Amino acid sequence: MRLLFGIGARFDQQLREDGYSSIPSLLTHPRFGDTAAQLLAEWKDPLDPAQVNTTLSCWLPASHPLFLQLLGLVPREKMLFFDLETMGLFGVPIILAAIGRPGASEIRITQYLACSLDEEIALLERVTEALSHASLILSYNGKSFDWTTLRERCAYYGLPFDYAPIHIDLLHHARRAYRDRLSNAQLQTVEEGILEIERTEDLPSEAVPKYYEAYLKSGNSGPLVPIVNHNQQDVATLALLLSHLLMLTAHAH
Amino acid sequence: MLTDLLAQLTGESWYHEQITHIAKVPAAKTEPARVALPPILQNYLDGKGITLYKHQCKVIEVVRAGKDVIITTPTASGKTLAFNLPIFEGLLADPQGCALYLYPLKALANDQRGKLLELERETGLDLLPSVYDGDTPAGKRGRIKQVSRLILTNPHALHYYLPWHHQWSRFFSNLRYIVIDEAHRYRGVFGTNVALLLRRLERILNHYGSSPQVILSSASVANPVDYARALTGREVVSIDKGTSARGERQVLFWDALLDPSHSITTQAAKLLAFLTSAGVQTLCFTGSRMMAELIARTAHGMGARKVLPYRAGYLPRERREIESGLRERQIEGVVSTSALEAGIDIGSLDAVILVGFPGSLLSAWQQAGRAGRGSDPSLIVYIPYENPLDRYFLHHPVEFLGEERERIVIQPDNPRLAAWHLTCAAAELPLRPEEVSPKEGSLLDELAANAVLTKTPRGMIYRGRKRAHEILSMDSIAGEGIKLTCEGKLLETMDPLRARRDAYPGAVLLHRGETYVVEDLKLEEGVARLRQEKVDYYTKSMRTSVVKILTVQESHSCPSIAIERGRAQVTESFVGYKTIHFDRTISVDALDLPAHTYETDALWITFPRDISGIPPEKLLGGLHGAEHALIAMAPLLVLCERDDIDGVSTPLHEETGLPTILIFDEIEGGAGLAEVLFTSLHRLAAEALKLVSDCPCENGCPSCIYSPRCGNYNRPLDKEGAIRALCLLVEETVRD
Repeated sequence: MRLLFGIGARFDQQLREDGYSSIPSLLTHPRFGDTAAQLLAEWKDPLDPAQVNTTLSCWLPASHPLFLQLLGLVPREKMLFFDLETMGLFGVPIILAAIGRPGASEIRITQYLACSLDEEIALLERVTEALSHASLILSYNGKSFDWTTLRERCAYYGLPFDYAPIHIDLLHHARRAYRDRLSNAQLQTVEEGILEIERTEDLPSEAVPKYYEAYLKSGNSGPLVPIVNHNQQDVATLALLLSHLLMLTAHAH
Repeated sequence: MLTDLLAQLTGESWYHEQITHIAKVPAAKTEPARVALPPILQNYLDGKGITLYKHQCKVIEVVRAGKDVIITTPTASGKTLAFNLPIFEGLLADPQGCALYLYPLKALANDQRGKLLELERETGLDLLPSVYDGDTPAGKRGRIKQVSRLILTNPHALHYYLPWHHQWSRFFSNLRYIVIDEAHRYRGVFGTNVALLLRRLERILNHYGSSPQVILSSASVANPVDYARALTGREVVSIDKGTSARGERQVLFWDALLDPSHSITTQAAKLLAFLTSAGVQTLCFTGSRMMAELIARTAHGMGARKVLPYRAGYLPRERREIESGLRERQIEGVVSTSALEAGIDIGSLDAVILVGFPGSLLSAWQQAGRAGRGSDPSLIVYIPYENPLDRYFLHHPVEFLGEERERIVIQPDNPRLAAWHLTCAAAELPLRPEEVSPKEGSLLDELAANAVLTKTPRGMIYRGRKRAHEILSMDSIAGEGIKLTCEGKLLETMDPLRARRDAYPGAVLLHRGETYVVEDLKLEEGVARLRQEKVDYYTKSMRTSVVKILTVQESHSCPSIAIERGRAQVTESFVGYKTIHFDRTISVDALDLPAHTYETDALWITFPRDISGIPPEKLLGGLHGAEHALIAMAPLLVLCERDDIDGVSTPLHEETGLPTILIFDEIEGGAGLAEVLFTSLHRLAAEALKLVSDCPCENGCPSCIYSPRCGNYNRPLDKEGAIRALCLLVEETVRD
C-alpha cells in the first residue's frame, strides 16, 4: 500500500487498522481508490518487473528490502552479477570484467580479460553483449562505480550504450542489513564478518593497477593470476551475499 | 562645471602645482541605427527605451550571417546586448538550440546570468539560463544538463566536465553558439591553457556532430584577429569601432613627486575627498587590496563619509551592496582594485582616479571608461608611481591618450602545456593520428614512450593511473603546489617557482591583510613554515640568471649589430634578499636555494666589440641600463606582467662571443612574448630611448634605468651608455 501516492507510514498503519491489507482491497476506498486502480492498470498481469522497479524507485530508498523481491519476477537466465577491474579510478581503461550467471544451485562465472590495453574495446563489446540479454543486474557499489565506468568507457570509444536493466546494488542492502554488526560496508568486511569467507593471499583492490602494469611491462602473466582470482571471488561473494540477504528478509516475514 | 572645479582645486592650500598636463578628449557623437528584429526582441528594446548603435547592428548582422566574430568596442558600448540579441534570435528559431557562455571568473558568470534571466523573462523564451560550475548544487546538476539551453561556466570547470561528455550529449549536439566574454583575460599560461582547452572542446563537439559559431568580446587590443585565431583556431570578423555617445573627457596628469612632503596615497585620498565632497561621484583604482583599504580609510578621515573600499574577497552580499550603491548614487566614491575594471554592472561615474599605471593601456582605458555618463563630460586623473612605465606616460601624454593598444599573445606551442592537453584529449576520446599536427605527433611519441598513452587500433588512449585532468593546473605551469603553513594550519598553496621567489626563508608575506614571516622552505617536501608577526618592512628577493642559447629560429642582420630569436635554457638562482623599510633598503641577506633550470623563448642582440661613444669601462653599465629600459617598456607592446620577462646583459657572451643583451620569457616553455618583442624591436627600442633620454635625472634613477627586480643591485648602470646603445639599436632597426 505504501506504493501509492499519499500513503506514508502513518496512513499505512491507519489503513491496516481499518481492515485494508493490499492494493486491490483499496479499490473501494473513497480517497485512495482511484490511485489504486491506476497502479493496478499499470501493473498488468503478469507483473512487468521494470514497471514495478520504476514505481518502487519513486517511493523507496535503494536499500529497501522490497527491491530484492524483484528477483522473484525475473527469470533466472535474465539475471547477471557483474564486477569490473580498472587501471585506477575514473577515466582509465577497464582491464577485467566478470559476469556471473546464476544456475539452480551454482553460479557460472565468465571473465573477460584484456591481455593488452587495446583489447579493452573487445572486452566492452562482450560485456555489453551479455548485458543486452539481461533484464536485472546485481553488483556491489556498481551504481556509483562499475556501471558508471562501463557507460563512460563505451562513450569514450563511441560504442552504443542504451541498456537500462534493473540494477540492484547490494552495497545499499548490505549497509542497511548489517548496520549494527559491521564497522563499514566494504565487501571484505562483509565477507569476514557475515559470510565467514576468508580470502587467503588476496590482492587488495588498490593493488590491481600495479600488478597489471607489472604484467604489461614484463609480458609475464604471473601478476595476472591474483587479479583474475580477486575478480572471480568478488562475483562469487556477491552470490553468497545475495542468498544471505534473501534469508534475512524471509526470516523477517 | 569641470572648469570651475579645476579652478577650485588649484586654489586649494594642499595643491602644489602637481598637474603637469591637461588633455581634452573631444566628445563622440552617437550613431544610432536600425536593424529588423523579431517582434519579441524589438518589443523588449522598445519597452526599455533602447535604441541600437551602428556597431551593435553590425554585430547582429555578422552573427546572423553565421560568421565568427570578435567585438572590441570601448567599455560601456553595449557589447553584451549586441551579441545576446542575435543569439536569442537564433535560439528562438531553433527550439533545440543551445549556447555556452564562458567567463574567466565565477562572479562574472553570476552577474551575467542575472541579465540573461531578465532577457529570457521579457522575451518569454524558455532557456533556463544556468550557471554550471563547482558551486552548482548536486541536486540541480542533472536538470541543467538535461534541460538548460544556455549554460554559463568558466574554463577551469569546463576542463573537468569534458571527460564526462556523454552526460552532456544533448547540450553538445545542439550547441550553436560559444560566447567567450572578457577574452583579453586569457593570456600567458592561463590563456594558452584556455586555447588548448577550446581545441579539446571543438574536438568533442565534432564527435557529437556540432560546430557552433564563436563570439568573442574583449577590451581593445592591437591584434584582435590574430589573437582570436590563436585562441580559437578560427578566422573571425573584427568589430572594433564604437559608435555610442561619449561626453568630453578631461585627463589630468598628476605628478605626486612634486609634493615630496605628502605620499601618493595621501594625495590620492585628498583628491578623492575633494571630488566627492564637490558632488563628483568618483571611482579610484589602485594596484593592491591594501592600498585600496588605505586610500579609502585616509579619505574617510578627511571627511569623505560616503567612500568605501571594494575588492575581490568581499562577500557577494557586500559586493552587491556597493555595486547597487554606486548605480543608485548612494555611494559617492569607491576605491577598488582591478576587480571593478569591467564586467560588473555599476553604471557610469563622473570621475576616475588611476593611482599607478595599471600595467597596460588596455586596463587603463577599461578603468577610465568607467567615467562618463551618456554625453556628460567626465574627468580622469592619472597619478603615476615612481617606476619607468608609470613615469613614461606622465612625460608622454600623447602615448597615453593615443589609439595604440598592446598586443595579446598566447603560445599554444608551449611543449609542456601542449603535451598535457594532448594527454587530456586522449583521455576524453581516443586520439587518432590524423587529428594531430606533425609537431604534436612527436609529442605523442614521447608520451607513448613514457607510458602515459598507448596505441590502439582506435587511436591513442590514456593509460596513466592518475586522472589526466589533474596532472597540471589551468593557472600554473609548475604543477604541484608548495603548502604555506602556520602552526600546522594551511594558509595557501603556491607553485614552486613562485615559492622560490616569494616564500624563501626570511620573506615577509601578506595573507588576508596579516603579515607573516617565512621560517623555512622545504621544496622537496613541498612545505613552507610561516609565523605570524606584525612587521613594518617588506622583503624582495634578488636573482641571477645564466642563459644558454639552444637554437636560432629567426634572425635579422643590421649593419653592426645582429638580432636573433630562438630557444634558450635559463638557470636561475635566488642569491639573496633585501629588507626594505619605508622605501629604504635596510639590510641584504644571502639565500641558499637550489638553482632552477628551464627552457623558454628568447631574443638576443649582439653589439660590435666597440660601440662608438661608449668607453670600454662603461660598456657593461650601458648594456645593463638598455636591457632594463627595454624590459620596462615591453608591456607597451604586449600584454604581460612585469614578472613575465627577464633579461641578462654581458660584455662577452659565451656563445655569441660579443657584447650581448638577452631577453627571455620567464615562463617555463615560453609564452610567445619574446617573439613579439623581436618583431617590434624597433618600436620597443624607440620607446626605451624616449624613456631614458626624456628622464630629467642625471645618472639614471628608478623612473628610467633602475629595475626593482635586478639581481645585481642595479650595478653597474650607465645612463649615457644606455642611451648610446639604444640609439644604435633604433638607427639600425629602421626597416622600409
